[in-house]
Amino acid sequence: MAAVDRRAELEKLVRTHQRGVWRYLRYLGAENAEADDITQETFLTVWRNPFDQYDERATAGYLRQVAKNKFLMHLRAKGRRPEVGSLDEAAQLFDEFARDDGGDRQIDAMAECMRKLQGKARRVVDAYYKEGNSRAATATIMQMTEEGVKTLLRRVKESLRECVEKRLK
Amino acid sequence: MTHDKERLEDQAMREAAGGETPPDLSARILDAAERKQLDDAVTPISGAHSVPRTARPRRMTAALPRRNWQGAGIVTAFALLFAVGLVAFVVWKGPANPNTGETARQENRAVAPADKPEPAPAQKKHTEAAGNETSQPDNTGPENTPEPKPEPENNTPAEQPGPEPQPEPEPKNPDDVVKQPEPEPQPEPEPKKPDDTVAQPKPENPAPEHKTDTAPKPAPVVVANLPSPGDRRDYPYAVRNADGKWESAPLIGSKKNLDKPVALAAGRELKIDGAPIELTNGAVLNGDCVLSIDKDLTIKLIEDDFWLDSTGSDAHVAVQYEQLTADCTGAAAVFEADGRKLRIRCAVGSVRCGDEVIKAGEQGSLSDRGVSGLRPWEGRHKLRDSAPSHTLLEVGFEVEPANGLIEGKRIRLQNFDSGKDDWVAHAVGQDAKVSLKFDAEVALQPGTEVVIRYRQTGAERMVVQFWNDAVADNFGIDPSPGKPGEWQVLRMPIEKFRNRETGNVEAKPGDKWMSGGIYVVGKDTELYVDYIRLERRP
Repeated sequence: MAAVDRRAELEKLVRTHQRGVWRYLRYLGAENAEADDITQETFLTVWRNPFDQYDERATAGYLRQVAKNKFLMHLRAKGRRPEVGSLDEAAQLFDEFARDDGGDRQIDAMAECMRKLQGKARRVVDAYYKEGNSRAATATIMQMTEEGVKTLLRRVKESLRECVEKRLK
Repeated sequence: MTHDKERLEDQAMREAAGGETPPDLSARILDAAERKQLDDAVTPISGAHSVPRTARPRRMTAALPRRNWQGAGIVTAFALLFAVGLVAFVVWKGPANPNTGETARQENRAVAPADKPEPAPAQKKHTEAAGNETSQPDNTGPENTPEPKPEPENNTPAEQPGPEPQPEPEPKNPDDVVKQPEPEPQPEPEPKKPDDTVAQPKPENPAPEHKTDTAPKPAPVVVANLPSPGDRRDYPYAVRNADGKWESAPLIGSKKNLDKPVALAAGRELKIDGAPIELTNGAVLNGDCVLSIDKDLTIKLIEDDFWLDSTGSDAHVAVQYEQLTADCTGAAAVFEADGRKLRIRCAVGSVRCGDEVIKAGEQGSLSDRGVSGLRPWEGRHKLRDSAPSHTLLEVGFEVEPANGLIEGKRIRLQNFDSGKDDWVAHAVGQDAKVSLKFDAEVALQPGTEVVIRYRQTGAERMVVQFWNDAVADNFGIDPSPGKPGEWQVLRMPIEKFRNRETGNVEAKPGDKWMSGGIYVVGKDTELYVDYIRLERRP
């Protein structure tokens, strides 16, 4: 019975927080596969070493701290450095982004706002963000200069930012 | 910070666009948990669950009695020894020093192994709890709540139940995680100071806490001007207000404000979109970026890129991006924020990056490791192409030239352009001439052009020429006089100006002109000159 309950608890914890942990690892510079592995390690670690949960945001923060430490050890072993400039500031930024849902609401709001994009704005987002093309490749696809793509992306980003802010208010 | 924020934003956009999605790892994690039989290995309290575990005993205190009395004995013995030592120390120190309590505590801390790695508050609490062998419910605030399970994993192998089939394959002990909250490869050189610097100077909008009715407001230091009020109609500008919102009104202004000069105060964040601004030392900046300018004319690039032309002046101008600084005094270059690097393309002069230099016609990337990727640059860039010209000389006749006019006289024309009055230079008669000596010699730079706005009647031909004192000769050109009675603008590169004596020597960068003028040849001529400018193309 205890094992069943513990499994259910772990499942709940994973389902609630895995996306936030994974996103955070990607943000710090983990490759997709690395993020998968370290997310798993993180949950197994806290599973073996239970902790007090006060609220979702605090739990998410703790999970990210564990994930970060594991990722840093992983990087150290590989002789790499994180992709973010300052770990503390990155942690703070991500905490503001993730709030208590790992960033789900932000992403949903962003996706909603993106659905409203049309024409060039839509195409540049698809080419650059969805298909993962470089700026130069996006410029070729869009038949624009690289500078033009850069300017267009900046403008699209600004309008999306405003849209997301409105949706989250 | 900006880079980190942008990185997060890009990641969110990738995900929202469907380019990358967090996988569902729950099945994989649960399988892994089952395989390792973690329940048996680490659940010391029968029937209880660790998540949440609001008011239950800590694991160590509960686990010891059940599994290993020897371990408990050792811990108790140590605790007693420690307590006896502490009491002895306090007694010994007590009479001599009234602050013994604090001293003892401090010294205790110095020798207690648990305190060695300067643990987080949560950890200290755990150490105390373990020492007391009591199970206190945590009453830390939520910010301390994610306290990891406290017991050192090093002690547990002896307590691990037999069924554990093999050594734990976990690469690191969880304690590595919890006891070293920041196991970073090396101390982070946290850029706290620069951020403070950026945030601090808001002369026009001091932070609310500094707002007092009695305290005098520090006067804002002007660092840049919008070169022409009319331009503000066409270019979007915005400044960031104290509440962090972009506010376009102060710079774009209402229609009536377009006639008023607008200045930028030091420290204000400015967003420009292909719009030119002119720094107080005469440097011209054309940007598609977010920046702020310090009072010493250090331009802090926050996002994107700008073209900066500070040629013809020795006044200091530097560009700072995050921790990186480049000196652009007397040079012209494109500066672009490129991740954690500052990409520099130098067109004129040289940009100094510490001991390294990026020269005209070169481009490179400045990072915290210095300049890398140095290679030739062909010199074309959108921002350079659309940048306003750099004015080396402007004579508009609104005021009397310092040395007066050699030929012609200054008159006021009524209902001149757009119904406004304006001052122009005027000459009439046979071979009408307007000429003057400049306030100072003008050194020609690469790409310099002569621009003249004039109107003539009766001219058979026309000559524009300037005096070069060093070679004691005029350098001139014979353009077509154009349609009589209409205002014309002539734009002529200096290379077209030839020595009037021999006709085979061109004017060139480095030459210095100290006087000049325009004259029309004809029996009965009249000449008006609105302005004479020497401009350097970007």
